[in-house]
Amino acid sequence: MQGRQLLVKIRPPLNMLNPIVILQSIVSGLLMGGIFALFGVGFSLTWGVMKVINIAHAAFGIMASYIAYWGLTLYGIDPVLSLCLSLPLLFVTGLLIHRFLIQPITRSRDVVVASMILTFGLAIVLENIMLFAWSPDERLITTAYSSQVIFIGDIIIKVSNLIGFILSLMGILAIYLFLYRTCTGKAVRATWQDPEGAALQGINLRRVSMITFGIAIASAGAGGVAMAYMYSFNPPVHNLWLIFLFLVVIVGGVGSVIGSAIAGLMIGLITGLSGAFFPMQWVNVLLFGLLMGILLIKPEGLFKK
Amino acid sequence: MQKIIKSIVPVSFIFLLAFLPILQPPAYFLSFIFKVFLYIILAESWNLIGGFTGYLSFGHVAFFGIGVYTSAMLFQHFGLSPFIGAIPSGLLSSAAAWIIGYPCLKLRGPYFAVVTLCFVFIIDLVVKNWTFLGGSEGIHLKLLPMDIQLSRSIFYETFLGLAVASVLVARWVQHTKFGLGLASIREDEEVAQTLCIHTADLKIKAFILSAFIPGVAGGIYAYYISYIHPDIVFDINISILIVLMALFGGGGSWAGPLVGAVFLSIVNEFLSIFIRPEFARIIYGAMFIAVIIFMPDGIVTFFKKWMGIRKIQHSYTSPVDKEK
Amino acid sequence: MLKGTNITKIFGGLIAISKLDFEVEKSSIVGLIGPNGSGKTTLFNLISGFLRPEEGKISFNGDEITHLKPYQIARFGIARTFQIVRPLKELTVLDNVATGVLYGRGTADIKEARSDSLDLLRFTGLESKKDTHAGLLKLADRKRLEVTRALGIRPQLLLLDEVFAGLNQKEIDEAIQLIFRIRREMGITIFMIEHVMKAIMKACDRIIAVHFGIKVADGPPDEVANAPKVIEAYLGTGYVTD
Repeated sequence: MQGRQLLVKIRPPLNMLNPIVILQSIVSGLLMGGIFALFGVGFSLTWGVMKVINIAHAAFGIMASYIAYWGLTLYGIDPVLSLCLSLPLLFVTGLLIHRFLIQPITRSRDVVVASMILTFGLAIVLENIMLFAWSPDERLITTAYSSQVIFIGDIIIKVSNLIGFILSLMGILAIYLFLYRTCTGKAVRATWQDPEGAALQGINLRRVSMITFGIAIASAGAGGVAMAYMYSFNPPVHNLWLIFLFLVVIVGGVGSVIGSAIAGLMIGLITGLSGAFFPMQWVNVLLFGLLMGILLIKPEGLFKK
Repeated sequence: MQKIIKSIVPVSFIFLLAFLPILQPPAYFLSFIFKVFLYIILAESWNLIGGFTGYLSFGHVAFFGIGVYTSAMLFQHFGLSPFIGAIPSGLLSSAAAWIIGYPCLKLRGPYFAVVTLCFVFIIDLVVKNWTFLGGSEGIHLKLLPMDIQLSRSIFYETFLGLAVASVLVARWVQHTKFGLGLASIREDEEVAQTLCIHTADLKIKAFILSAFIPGVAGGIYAYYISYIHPDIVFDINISILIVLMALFGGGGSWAGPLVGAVFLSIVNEFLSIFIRPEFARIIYGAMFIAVIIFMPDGIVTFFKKWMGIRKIQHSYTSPVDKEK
Repeated sequence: MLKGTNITKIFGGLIAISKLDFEVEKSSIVGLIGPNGSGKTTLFNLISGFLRPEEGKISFNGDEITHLKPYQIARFGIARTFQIVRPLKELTVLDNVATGVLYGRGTADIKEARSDSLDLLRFTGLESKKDTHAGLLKLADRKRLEVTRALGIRPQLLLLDEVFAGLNQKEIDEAIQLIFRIRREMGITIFMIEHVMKAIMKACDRIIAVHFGIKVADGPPDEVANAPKVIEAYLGTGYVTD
């Protein structure tokens, strides 16, 4: 199953109690977690700001993975550079989708449910466009530095994982700065906290949600490329990635950037560590159980006051 | 009298469907209608909790799957006939709904949706890794000792019966005190409480009932497919499909899931016959987008309103015509 | 009939209601006034079971109801309306009321419940709108529906949370008449929160005034309106300067 491919990198080591093994799994878990965080932050934003649960979020991420993959395979463009093309592209796509698909449903009786079904339809469309264009074959981004590793003491860090992680940190930082340092970003936050109040203050809700949606989709693209550094992907895999998005949002609290960042790291850590002790199929059971447990005990997220 | 006339059409249609196997239609056609029945059963019973009560459950395929596995195990170990085994299947599904529903029904909206989604994933993974239940190898059931045409017909008739039953149950619920209580929970749970409604109790009853029917259907379905694998019976896509069918038709009434299940099954079938699967799925996905944007309350309500508006326009235009 | 002693409610360190005693006698109309944020709606939420007090006891006809769930309190015969009206939007006006009738009176006969509901709608003057979806009503009608629905459970005590707010003078007068009729013809006791001072002076037998969660006055309308502490609480914008 797809779950195995995702978690295959953290095979159970031979000696479980070896401190180096534990340290190694902590490090690779954190690297993985950073990527979950970037991937989840946009998902969290659209959910928080406009009550839109974008089921197609991960599918957009895979779109960017494919752009990176083909850029690399056909023209030798480094995946990070390919973001220069895919990010603006996804941003504009986000704006258009918001204008033509999301805006018509903002007045419906239950925006959350309506948006879930609408974006589910969108996910089906995207998945099948990708299947048609690029076939269901598994792809893996292989760059010149893919096989290179860095040693810190006895701990091994893969260069490609590190690049993915740094990319994620930069992405999250960019979104954080946007939200807390720019006027538009402050408007987004105001809208999230109190839409009616924000409207009374003269904030153009439509424009704010449109930009939020564009940024969210673009961040999904960056997250997708970061993911593609670590895991193989094909169009249907977005369904599995989606579960991690839900995990990030629900652990971190809806709409919170810092919450998403911490949640991503935590989930990565738990995945990494438990991967060292349990067979990988039970790691997934553990994660889903964790998600259920958090929802039942503290549905507003672990870091909400 | 009017009631009798009104019920003639559906009753005779059901009889027609019941006699279909005697005409010995192609096996493909029979199994297609069988599948439609299955989706009617699932969508109608989902609608009890999802449409009437407003709790979006993505976990309904799990209740179906529990039913499949229960009757398969009963058959393998005790040689129990599928049609008897279906009852404990339903009961076990209900029990699972009771255990899951008790904590989960406190959550609302997307949180409930996610928690039920997780439930499916967990149960799928547990079954896959549990050798007693066949693990990821699956279970092969012995074929029933009868002619394939005959057994197909029997399955067909049973599912027809179950589909009719699930529609009737939904209709009954909608028009009774129970249904009104569920509707008030959907609209505003706090207000429902001020109206003396024990909301937690009512929700769990609806959830248990909505798990029972898929459990029974699953119990019988086990023998129909005879090879059981978690990927088939705990397929999350089935869960999503039944949600979409119910909402496509319109979740507020018993008619919605029926129309949605029939319509989407037919469209799906036609699309997959005539064009390549990717394009079929693209059209399929685009359809959901279109329905949500243009018919947010489902097609049944849309056409009702559309006809209603036509009537109103008619009565409005007539006085103007007179003035002229 | 309804009696609260020593009630205290704290929201995250902020005291919303502090050691409040109150009583509502049978077949009276009692008003509850106070500036915004003085804890009026909180008190109603405590009585109807949506909140639990940190301290104190609420009893109804001698039975303690402090720790009961909202639906249990409703079954005791305490009905309430909400400040911001909350119709069951997708249901018809008739079914809004019928739901309360069915569950509040413990019958299962939907036809009988609907005909009882129709009587109630006739009583409150909403009969002509019975088949309208509740979400499509105007504000004044929504308020009527809110009251009718509460009457559906056949309460002994009716808690009204700002039913006059947003209504024009004519509608307020109609609403006051309706409240009198509810007491006279149905024998229901009424406890109401109100901001429209003129109206509450006219409607109530007795008024309780609260300020920052503390009771500052309790007595006949004229007396309460002229109590210095009440005038102080409203900074002179109350009845006296009106």
